[in-house]
Amino acid sequence: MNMENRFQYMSFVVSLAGLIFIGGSMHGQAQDGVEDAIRQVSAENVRGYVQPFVNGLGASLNSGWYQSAAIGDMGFHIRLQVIASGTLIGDADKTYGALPPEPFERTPVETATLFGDRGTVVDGPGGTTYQFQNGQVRTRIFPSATLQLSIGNLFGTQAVLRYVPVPEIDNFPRTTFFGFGARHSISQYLPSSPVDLAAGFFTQQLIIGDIMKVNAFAFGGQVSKSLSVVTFYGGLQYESSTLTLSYTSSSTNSRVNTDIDSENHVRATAGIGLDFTILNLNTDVSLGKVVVVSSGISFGL
Amino acid sequence: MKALSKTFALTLATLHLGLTMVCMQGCDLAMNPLIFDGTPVEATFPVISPVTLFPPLVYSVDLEDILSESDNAVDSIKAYNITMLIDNPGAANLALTCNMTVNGDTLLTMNNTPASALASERTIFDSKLTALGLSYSPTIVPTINGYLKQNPKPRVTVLVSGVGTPAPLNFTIHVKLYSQVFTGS
Repeated sequence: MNMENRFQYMSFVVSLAGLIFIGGSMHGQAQDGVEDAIRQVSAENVRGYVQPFVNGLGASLNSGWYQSAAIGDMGFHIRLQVIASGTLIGDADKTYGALPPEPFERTPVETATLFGDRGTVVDGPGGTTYQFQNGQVRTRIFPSATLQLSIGNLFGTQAVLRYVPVPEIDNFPRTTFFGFGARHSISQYLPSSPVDLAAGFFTQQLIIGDIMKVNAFAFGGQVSKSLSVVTFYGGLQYESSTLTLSYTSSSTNSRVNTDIDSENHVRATAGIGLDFTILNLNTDVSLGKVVVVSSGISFGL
Repeated sequence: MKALSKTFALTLATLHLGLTMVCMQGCDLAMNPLIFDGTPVEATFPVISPVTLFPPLVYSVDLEDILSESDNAVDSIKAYNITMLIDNPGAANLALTCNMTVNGDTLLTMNNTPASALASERTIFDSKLTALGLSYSPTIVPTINGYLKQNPKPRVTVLVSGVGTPAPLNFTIHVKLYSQVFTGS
């Protein structure tokens, strides 16, 4: 990202007047290149090309839903939170086995994914050569950030909302992000429990530009223990996310409609938070198929 | 406890700021040039003849058309496939013996090649076609790539001549060039 793009990006973020959605913005900035790159990838190769992107995006979206398992039975609760998360991108996420088109030998060739470097060049008959699409995003961590509102408490239940509509601005694609979920206190039924327990589910949808839609879903259990202002928390979560691609492949001029599922399904999370009543800070790490680091700052009652 | 809390607060704040900075600056986007498929360009030769010999047929192909759907800054173009299709509503046992050139350079020759082998679009580099009498020139791809290096891209003349059996002849030869367009970095 050059300085001009970075400035436009920052201006855009500021213009959202607090609706900070860094991840969506960055995904959006990349989207033109990503979308164009995907359009050039054949239907048989697109899954491998974007799989690490789906894993990273899905894992990031399914992060940061909770920072404690303590949920009061009844009473007013409202908290606005900015959550930044990042999925670690390893070397294995940078290559995949792709099939070259005719007239090249139809055996898989290791080449760059969306997170990779240059596409591999293969030689064919008659002096022909073919280069697979280049990688378009160089990063060691796939970032995402969102704004989240939690409201409660009603019979030990909190609702959690995420919503960011981003209009089309210049080359910035129209992006819509919406998510909601609910968490319910389990420990209210276990008065002698030494720790707080809760369970919850979360669902969300992210639509970026014309060809990409991501649906994510997660449910799981949470546990936390507060010692003064410090809260230790963790949980187990089952999750899924699916990227739906719908475009016309330039290489085959055929319509491609495909769903690509994230490979991340189960995660264990451990984190720590500081509760200063109005201001809260937290950081956690999640281990699953991919590793996700998440951090949040929140304000509320 | 107060000191512990302060340490935790500083640690968390540092982690938070660090992660946020990574989120905002850790991505290097559009780092490599995109590779596009060029618009395929085609030469078409309708052959209608009462006798087996058909006269030389010429088709002019504008290589600039490869970029007709691209609005990106182009660095280079390379051909990666040439295909052929024979649409033959005439005799089912049609066989062709002919020569095809690009600006005078041989593209391919056919020696009693059954038209049915090319009833669907097929790469001329298919080694199975060699046994059917079709052979391509090993220098034609570098020659075409030489044209594609020129700016603006030139028009090239594709010519086909030969004989088909049995007469009368009523078929159409389609030759298509596929290419990759490399954008500037």
